[in-house]
Amino acid sequence: MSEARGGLERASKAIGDLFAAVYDDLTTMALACERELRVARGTKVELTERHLRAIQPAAATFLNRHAFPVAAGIVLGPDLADNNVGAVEWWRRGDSGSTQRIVFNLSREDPGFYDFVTYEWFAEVVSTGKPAIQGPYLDYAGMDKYILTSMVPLSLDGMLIGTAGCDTEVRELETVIMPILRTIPEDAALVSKFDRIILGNSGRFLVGNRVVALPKDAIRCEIPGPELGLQLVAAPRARHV
Amino acid sequence: MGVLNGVQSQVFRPLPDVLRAEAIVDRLSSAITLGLLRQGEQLPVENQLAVMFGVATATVRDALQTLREQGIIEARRGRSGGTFIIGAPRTNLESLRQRLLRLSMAELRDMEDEQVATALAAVRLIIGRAFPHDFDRLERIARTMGEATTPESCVRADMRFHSELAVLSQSERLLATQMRLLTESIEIMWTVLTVEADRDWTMNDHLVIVAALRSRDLIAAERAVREHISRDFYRLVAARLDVLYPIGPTNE
Repeated sequence: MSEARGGLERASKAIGDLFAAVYDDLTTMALACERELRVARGTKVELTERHLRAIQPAAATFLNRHAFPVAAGIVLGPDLADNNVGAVEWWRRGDSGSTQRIVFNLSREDPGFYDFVTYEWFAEVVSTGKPAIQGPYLDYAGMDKYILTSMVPLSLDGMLIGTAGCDTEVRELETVIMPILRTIPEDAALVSKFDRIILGNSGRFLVGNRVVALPKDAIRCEIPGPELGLQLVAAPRARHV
Repeated sequence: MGVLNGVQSQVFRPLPDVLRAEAIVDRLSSAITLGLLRQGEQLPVENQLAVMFGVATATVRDALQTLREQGIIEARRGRSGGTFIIGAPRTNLESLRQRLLRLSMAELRDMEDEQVATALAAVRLIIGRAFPHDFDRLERIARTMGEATTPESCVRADMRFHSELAVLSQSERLLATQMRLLTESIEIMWTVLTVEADRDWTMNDHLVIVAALRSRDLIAAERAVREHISRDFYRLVAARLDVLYPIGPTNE
């Protein structure tokens, strides 16, 4: 069992390093966004939605440094921009190093309304002031994809004004996490803090499922690095057929 | 839709002609392998195919040329002329394997979800609607798997059983959904499963489903369907991971 524990810890460390690199750069991006917003606002007291466009270079820099996130940007709560509906300034990776702005529908009456304030990546980060990860989830009316959203707090003049972060498609994350998970000889999975499977190394643990009814000899290991509540779970291999 | 957002502009990017012709060849070849189009049947004329596939006539012509060269179709002249299906496509193992490798874990799981959802809806309707002789027919179809000796004949037997489930549901829409799902997965499945090792348990799974339906036991039928599909997908996942990431728990 201690051998299994050792393998799991090595894999946890490798996955923790990957997330640490992303979250460190998200914090850097949040600081860069804060600087850009301060410059764009100038002598005005209030931020307007137009000011937000200034964060594009910060988002582009982040996307150029990391291969697997698909989009990055900032989100301000309803009371923090001029229009009372909040703001999503989100930039998607385009062809050959370019970025494209994604338009979100923030009018409550529309069927395509993007109701982000209740999402963990917003509500939790704004209330705790700590980084968070949500997913995998279907980002309906947003990216319209099966993604994970990583967020860190965004401040301006010492005030928490929203979140800064990135989206990662589950299929892209698979390309970096699976090689690590496959070094574990047991059936193993990376799970969110709610025990939702992010990725498993066999057909036993399928992405999106919750981990239920683990056998007694299953082991768990926390992912070090940013406190996102991620864990690895492993259980002696069980064949399905 | 004034300005397209980032995701949307990806949706509307033009498709290359070569890929479209290849897609038509794949679609028609699969349909023949799966028995949706039969030998001796006549294809619609080029113009009509172009409209149906939503491509230029030249693209259809390229696709038909490829199929002619493979001996799958032939053009006949005269009053009863046209393009006819005359041969069975050779299973292109390599292209099927590539299709499997391109699917991510999330996509495979999603495919399984939709298959399970469709099959569960079908068994529920069958229990409400089918007559005893329908179950006899379904059982006969299930038993043809026992005589299959090649992967191609396993594909056809598997296809017949699962399409019959949708047929017995009496829902045209469910049948259309089921055919789409089978077309995208069943040939790939039999590149992973083998006749010797997997034919018999597959037939057995099918017979368990028939027995549960016959006794109109919804819970047993649902469980049998879920377990059958989940076994299939477990194998698909394992096969894909073993190729892409050779060291790991699924590889012996």
